[in-house]
Amino acid sequence: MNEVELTQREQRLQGYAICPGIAVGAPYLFAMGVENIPEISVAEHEIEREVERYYCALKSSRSDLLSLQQRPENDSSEIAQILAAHLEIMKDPVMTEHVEQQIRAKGKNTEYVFKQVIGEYQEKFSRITSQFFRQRVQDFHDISRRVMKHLRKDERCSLLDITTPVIVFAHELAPSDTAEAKTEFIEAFVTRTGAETSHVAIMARAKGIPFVSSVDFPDLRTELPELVIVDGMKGEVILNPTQETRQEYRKEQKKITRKVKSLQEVHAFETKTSDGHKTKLSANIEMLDELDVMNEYGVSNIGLFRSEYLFLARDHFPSEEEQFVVYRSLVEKVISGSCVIRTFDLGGDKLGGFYPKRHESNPFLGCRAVRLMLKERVAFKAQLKAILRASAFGEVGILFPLVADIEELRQAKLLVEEAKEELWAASIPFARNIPIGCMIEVPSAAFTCDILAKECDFFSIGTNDLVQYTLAVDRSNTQMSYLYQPCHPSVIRMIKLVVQEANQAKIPVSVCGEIAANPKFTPLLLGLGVHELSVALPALTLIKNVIRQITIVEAQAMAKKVEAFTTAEQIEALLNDHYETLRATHSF
Amino acid sequence: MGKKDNQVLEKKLRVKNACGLHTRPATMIVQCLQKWQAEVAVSYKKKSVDAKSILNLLLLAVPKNGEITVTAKGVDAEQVLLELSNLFADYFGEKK
Repeated sequence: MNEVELTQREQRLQGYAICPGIAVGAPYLFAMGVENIPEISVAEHEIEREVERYYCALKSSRSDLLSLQQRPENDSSEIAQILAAHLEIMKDPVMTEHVEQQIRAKGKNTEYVFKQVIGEYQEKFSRITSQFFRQRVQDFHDISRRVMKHLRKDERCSLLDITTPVIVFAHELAPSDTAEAKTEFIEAFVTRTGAETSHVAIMARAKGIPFVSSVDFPDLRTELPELVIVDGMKGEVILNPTQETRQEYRKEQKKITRKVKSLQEVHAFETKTSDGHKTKLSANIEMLDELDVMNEYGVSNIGLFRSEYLFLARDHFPSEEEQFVVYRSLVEKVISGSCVIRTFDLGGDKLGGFYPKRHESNPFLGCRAVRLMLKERVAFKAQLKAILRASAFGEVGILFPLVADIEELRQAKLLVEEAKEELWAASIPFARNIPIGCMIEVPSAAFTCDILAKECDFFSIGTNDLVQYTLAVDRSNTQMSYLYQPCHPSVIRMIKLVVQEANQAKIPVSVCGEIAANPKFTPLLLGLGVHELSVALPALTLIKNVIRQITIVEAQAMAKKVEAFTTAEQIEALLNDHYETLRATHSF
Repeated sequence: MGKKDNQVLEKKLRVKNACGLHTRPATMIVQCLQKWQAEVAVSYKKKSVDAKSILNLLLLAVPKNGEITVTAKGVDAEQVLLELSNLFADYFGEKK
């Protein structure tokens, strides 16, 4: 066999299935690290800008180091000396004049020139005979990496730049990357890292982009496959598929399209079980362009608008006016239904550009969501005022994420009152009795939901966080993800408790996490007494179909049965069996 | 320009630090030179580099007891050399 044949051979790689669907297309390597820097010629009039970009990156790296110096844990004289040396090396003529001169002389993009200079000096260091001095290259290495990071941040390395249909291969994707992905061009995502319920996954699902994560794919730069297939059901990625495989998958694709079409016929029907129990089905929305397709899905309510996603790429909080424009258009598009806006849920794994950076050893247990916003009072009030102003144009609810204690709810509500007073004084209209809701996603909130229910108007159970906090499992830790069990009896009991208390207090309760969009859970949730499911648009059709095929009687019987189970495996098996039977009978 | 403006002075200095002319001494040389106008070059084993560049000083890989030649050019060349020799004599503030 010769070389060419060898490289073109079909290769199957296994990963985790994150978002279902099948894509057949050309691969595109996205932000694959320092090695992957393109060489771009720069026109003479743009050279100044390149030089300036370089000095900006140096300046940002400098402020990084200065803030590192401030941190108490870096107080030891050894670390302080290293940091001081790094700061000094950044002023080195090699790092300043030399790079600048090279950018001017070569007329190439800054990253490329900088990379060459780094290479040149690394080579010089590698030729030193003394091991001790050879290793001094480490400091230089550190600094270069820092500067490069800042350079690449400025670079318009964005999924928005993609204008032909491709399958994106990346080491890792950030929520802001996926936020920018256009569904007409991005056919699928393949990443080396990532786990099932990261926010990147939520975005991909919202957009219906097939996604396989944790794939250990080879270095594709040397031999880019012409064609790849991504199977988001099996979690498989096939490089250079054979003619046979391609045909098989094309058939599979057609089958899916047919299935989706037949499922879509249900859009015009009501959301109720076959024995007439009505359920509210709403959409989780992140992007405004999703609103345009909402009507096609036959859904009229927004159960969860994740306000932070609109602004993740910023480096400051958006102004009240800016937000008002967005929220108003949101409210106006939802003509016959209601819309719940969740206030900024920042921190944890969502580190937006405008998130004020704090250094925390455990960010998921730290200052995030409503905790963070209660500290950023000015920004919080601006958001509340923007939502209140939008309430004059249609039905809106305010939802506070990660409430863990009644006091947090009270403080947030106090701020709503302040915002109302200010608007009132300025004669700006708003809905006075705007509903205020609590996300139930922390066990402490679940166990005190009777207390919370007395002081708010609705609950929304966020199962992703609830599962991770209840089971003490980091949901993005691939090695631990087997412990992330939404079927765990503790989780089911907690949902049951919250629903019971909400019913007692006569306030509505919805479920908006991943399990709401998982058809296997639908009968159980309905059986537990959940009033509303809020799911990403692409999941709507399937969930509606399931609701329409089951009876509330069998759903309640199922909930009863689950109560007696002792392990997550048992519960999961029951949900699976039920779903398989449902699928077999109704062929979806 | 007076004669002093262009004066070029040279001095041989011995590195006494245990680790030779490593990052910290190099940093101190660079910091010291920032106060003066003179152009300073350091040469060791036939290689000569700009003394204002830590990276280039490190590339000389001067070990303990290595002897370097410092060349200073400019109006304050004398003071520069004096201050540098003090640094070398003081082991760059490291334990002797």
